[in-house]
Amino acid sequence: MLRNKGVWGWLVLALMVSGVFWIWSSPDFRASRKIPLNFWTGFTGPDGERMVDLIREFHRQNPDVEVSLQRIDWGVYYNKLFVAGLGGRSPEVFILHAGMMPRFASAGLMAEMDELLDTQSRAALDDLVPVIRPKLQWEGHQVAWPLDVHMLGLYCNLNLFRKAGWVDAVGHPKIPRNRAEFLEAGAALRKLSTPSREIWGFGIADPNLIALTSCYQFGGRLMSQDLLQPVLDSPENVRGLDFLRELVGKYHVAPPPESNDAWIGFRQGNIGMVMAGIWMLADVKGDHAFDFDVQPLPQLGNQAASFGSTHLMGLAPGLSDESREAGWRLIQFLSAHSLEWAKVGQLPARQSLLSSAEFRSLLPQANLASEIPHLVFTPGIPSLWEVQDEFYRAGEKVLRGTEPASTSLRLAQRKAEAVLERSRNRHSFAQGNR
Amino acid sequence: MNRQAGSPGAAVLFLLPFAAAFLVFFVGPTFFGLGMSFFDWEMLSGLPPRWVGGGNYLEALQDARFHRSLLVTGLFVFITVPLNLFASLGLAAGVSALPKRQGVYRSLIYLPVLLNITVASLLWRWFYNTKFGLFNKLLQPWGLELPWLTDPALALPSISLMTVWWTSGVSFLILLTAFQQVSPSLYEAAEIDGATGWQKFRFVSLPQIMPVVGFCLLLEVLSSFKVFGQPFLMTGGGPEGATRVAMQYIYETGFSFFRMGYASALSWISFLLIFCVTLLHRIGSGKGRAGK
Repeated sequence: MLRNKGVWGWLVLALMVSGVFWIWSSPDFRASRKIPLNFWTGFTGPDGERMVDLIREFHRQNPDVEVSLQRIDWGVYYNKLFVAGLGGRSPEVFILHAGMMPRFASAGLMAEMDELLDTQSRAALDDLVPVIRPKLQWEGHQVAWPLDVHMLGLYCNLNLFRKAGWVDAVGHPKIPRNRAEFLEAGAALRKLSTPSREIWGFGIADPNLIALTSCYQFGGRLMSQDLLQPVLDSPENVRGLDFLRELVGKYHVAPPPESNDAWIGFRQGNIGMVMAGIWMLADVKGDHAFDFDVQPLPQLGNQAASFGSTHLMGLAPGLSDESREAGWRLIQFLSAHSLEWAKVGQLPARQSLLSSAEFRSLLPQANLASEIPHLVFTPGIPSLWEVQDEFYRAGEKVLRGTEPASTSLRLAQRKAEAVLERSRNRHSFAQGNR
Repeated sequence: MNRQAGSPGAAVLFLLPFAAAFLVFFVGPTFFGLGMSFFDWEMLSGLPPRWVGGGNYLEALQDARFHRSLLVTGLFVFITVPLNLFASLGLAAGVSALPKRQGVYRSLIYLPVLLNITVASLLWRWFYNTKFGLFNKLLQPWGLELPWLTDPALALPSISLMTVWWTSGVSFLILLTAFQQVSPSLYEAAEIDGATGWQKFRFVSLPQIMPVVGFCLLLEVLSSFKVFGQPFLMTGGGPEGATRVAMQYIYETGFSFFRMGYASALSWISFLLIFCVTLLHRIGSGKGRAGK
């Protein structure tokens, strides 16, 4: 009896397996199967919510594709993406910053897109802002497509400006445009301090990016023009970092960064101005009681410049034709809908969208479009992280007043030279994209 | 007696799942890492690993940042372990002396251990916030505003303090059990001899639980040497590298800069250092026992 039961059990199981196999292999089922696409991003904030909306819209327009959106914190995102790529488990489509592209492309983790470019996408390519175009290629091949362009802006607490009397003839807050105005506004805001509450003119909210921007504005760069040598200890970089420190120690308009969380200070109404990424916009926009504005950075050095970057979209290498085509469709869809994306902060990378009436009415994002020609991207070298890390370490010491800029940048230069030297000895790709 | 349960075949069968996982996920990677430490393998390059012999170890000997990270780790161990041990010993002694409600206190003291490292670290990062953190609010009446995590001199002790709060429950529980194992007759004899509470602790309890204290000491030294999550989440290794411990440096070398060969060599050096400390502890505790 028991043996009979066992036989019946096996028979039922065999029937079920054959049934499933039959359904799966039938042409109708295969035709109805959706093309799966894994899409990895680091958008974990409000921008992630917007991306979910865009993917929903993509699903609506492309019912044959099923996108699985993964949102991973930027802090660990690149490690995961890189290790996944090395293990041959890259997501089909992924986001990465322009500065990271050479690292991934040089390791063979990004598919070439040249063959996918048709007349329409070539026209879209020509429509991109010029500063971005070189960031999409590696060794002469198209390997990425931009989703947006982003930069730092000057966030101002307008209530504090009014209280400080820093207004024009009709009572509108005067947003500083140059160094003199910036320092004067900072000093005026500082005077609002009372014995029980300190008010600061300016806060160093993101020390690394602000240090880079300050150096860029004084004409400094991380790498030489040919990308062969680090130039961290150039006089321009020394001046850029010294100026930032002077905001704390000489002009007394900014609190020491070590004892102040500038962004929170700004949100609490204790800091009048901060330079922060446009991606922080969602944080203040939701607070209707907070009267603020975001304007292009004032020119603090001898040229207008800001740290700039772009979120690039890449395809994994070795995809099936079907997945590659679906991935390309997703990339083109997101690029075409970057005006929707811009509503959470980052600006579209297409000139036609930037000049559209809809974008021009999108404030304060539209204010920052004038910064685009002056954006400085981090150099496109595979060892960027290491070189940048040396600069950031030096910048931290200067901002904290531990070391003068010349000393800390000299050490950073030596370390960065060693990194580049090792890279040259070991790899054939020491030079990158300009 | 069940003969089948005692047969070697059954033992092998029961051990097999664990042994397989142990071999695949621990022994294999450990020796793979040892092999890798003799190669220059930069995953970023896409090139195959290149044999460099002891080159990575020689580089580690000259790497000032690695040395500093070892020093920071040593300092962390030096601050955290005694604090942790004294706290757990004091709490265990106190709770074991309570006539009732020991269970409630035991649960309360053990509770932080149940927190995930991310939760505990982020919670304390808020507590330590210079401008609106809990600790500086408490210090406000005295006009104090300490830069807990942003001053290079204060950051590491602050992380140690958080670690003591978060982990002392483990040693506390072990020590509490040890206290409860001490024979009541010994205390009765001491009371008849007129011993005070402190004397009973010093001359009765402590000698009895000393082997357990040694065990807790070893556990804490080993876990403190492996510290990573707290500084990584609370300070990111800053300010100015004051909390960049060896494990974080190895992590960055391996998984940020993808120098796998060099990171493996650093891991092995750290392993050997921890192994030496364990060996010293064993020799020390062996001598202690022989002395008795």
